[in-house]
Amino acid sequence: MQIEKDIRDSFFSGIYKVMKEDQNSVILTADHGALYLTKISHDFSDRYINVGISEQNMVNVASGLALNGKSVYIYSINNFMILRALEQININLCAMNLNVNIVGTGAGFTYSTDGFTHHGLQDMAISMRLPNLQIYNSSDRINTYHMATEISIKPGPKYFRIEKGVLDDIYTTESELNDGFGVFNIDKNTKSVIISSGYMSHNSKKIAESLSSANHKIGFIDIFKVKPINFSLINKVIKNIKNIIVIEENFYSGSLGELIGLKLQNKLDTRFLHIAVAGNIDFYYGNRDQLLKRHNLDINSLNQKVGIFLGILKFPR
Amino acid sequence: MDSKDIVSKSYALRKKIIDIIYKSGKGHLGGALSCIDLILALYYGGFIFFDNQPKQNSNFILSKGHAAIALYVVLNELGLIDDDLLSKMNQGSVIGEHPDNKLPGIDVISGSLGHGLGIGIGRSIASKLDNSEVINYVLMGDGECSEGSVWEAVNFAGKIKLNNIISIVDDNGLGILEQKTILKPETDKRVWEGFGWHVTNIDGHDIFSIIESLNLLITSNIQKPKVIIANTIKGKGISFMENKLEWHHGSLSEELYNKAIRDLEIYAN
Repeated sequence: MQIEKDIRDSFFSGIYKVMKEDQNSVILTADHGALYLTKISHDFSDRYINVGISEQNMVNVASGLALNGKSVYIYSINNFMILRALEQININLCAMNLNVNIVGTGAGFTYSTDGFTHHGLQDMAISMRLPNLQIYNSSDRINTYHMATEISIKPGPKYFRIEKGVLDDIYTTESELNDGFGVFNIDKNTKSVIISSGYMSHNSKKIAESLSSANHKIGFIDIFKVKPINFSLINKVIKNIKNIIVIEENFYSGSLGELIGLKLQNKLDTRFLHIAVAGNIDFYYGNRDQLLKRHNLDINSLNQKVGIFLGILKFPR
Repeated sequence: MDSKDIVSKSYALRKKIIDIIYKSGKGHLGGALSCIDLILALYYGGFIFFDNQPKQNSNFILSKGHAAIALYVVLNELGLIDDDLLSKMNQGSVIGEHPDNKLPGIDVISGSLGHGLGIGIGRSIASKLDNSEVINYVLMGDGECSEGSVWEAVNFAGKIKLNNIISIVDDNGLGILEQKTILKPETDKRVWEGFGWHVTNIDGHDIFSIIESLNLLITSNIQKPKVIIANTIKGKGISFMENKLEWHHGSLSEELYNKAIRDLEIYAN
């Protein structure tokens, strides 16, 4: 199996495969492009529609198509769908429980030079409140391709937050992906676990590896199925873990860490640390790593914060 | 069914609307009475069908969901919603003032305005992809046409020359708080035409004319989306409700109920 290197390409090459096999599938875009989307528009021109920059209408049109039995993909930037077309999604996709896949780019600081309008720091927390909606957060090309080819073809409304560009592989093509999360370096000797999702899984995996030692083994979990979270299975993996750390590229309020913190509230012997983006509006422009550094989510800042929490590093003097 | 028989239903169903709202305590009277003739003409004129595959589908969307009672009484007349369920509206049952897709004959949840046209457009595109001749009908209110999402849909359908959708605007001229000015852009023929739509203006209480206009549109070769702007009267048929803002939503005392029924008897003759 040949998977494209660029994450977004891996997703849309998967959608290309689905659309080739399923004549009932239709894709709509709100004038938002991608390399493979151009190929889809050429090869399946009758089932590709650019509705123009009108996300609320795109959701409604998708709802109508799905009501008539179509399997639908809609594509734009995360905020412009989840925030702008929230009510259309809530009623016409979620409450009506239709087969529509919301596909968006712009998780976290993906669009780092485009400002607050484009920063995907709230969309996950908001979409986690929507009934029936499943949410997937891509972290590498392998789980992203799996989302396109294996998950998007299943029934019900779904939201795929797709990364773009080339990132390291977290999984291999042999990895088990059906549980919606991946477990790394966790066994009976593991004392601490870092849980993360999406782009932050890369920084989280790196600090878990760098802080881990024979004395203090640190494991890592990448959660890509965010809703419904497979907590009963995750809990089996972490039930004897003393320290749980959740790192994410979202505002603190209402997101993954808050959810896991709630799930862990009765585990009195577990220490819990949640690291996310402070909920202030930041008018600052730079590359993604510069923005992450500004919000203390770069590898050095995380290393220090987590290292101190775990008692591995001392407070700097 | 003969148009004359449909006209007689117009009286009977108005009476049913009044009965149910009187019994249930409250309801959206004005907008239901302004569009009941449009819904009747659609269903009894043979424009709306039901298809049980792949699910219970019809080709009608009531986008102005607050007029649900007008749709319920027609679906009741057609045997889809039974008397017992209808009589329990708003009284601890699954039937309320806005329609849900859990009810027989209804497959779109409405209540929040401005959604139905886009959904209808999606269904019409699906019809085309399936090489189906089906035409989809969406009923909106003139007040609803202030929603921006309506105009995203109007713009899109006009651009792609979607010729298998017919939108009907129940232009009763009254919102909740105020009467609209006569020259309002949302029901101005030139505005819709500017977006590439074919516009028909009719009297929305003249069942013969509604059916005739619909027949003309579905047999025409006009390669455009179509809108019927139906001039209607909010509260039509009940003297004290006609064109009265306060009857957008309300409840009836016994005295007013009896007066409404007397009005409808006069209207029937």
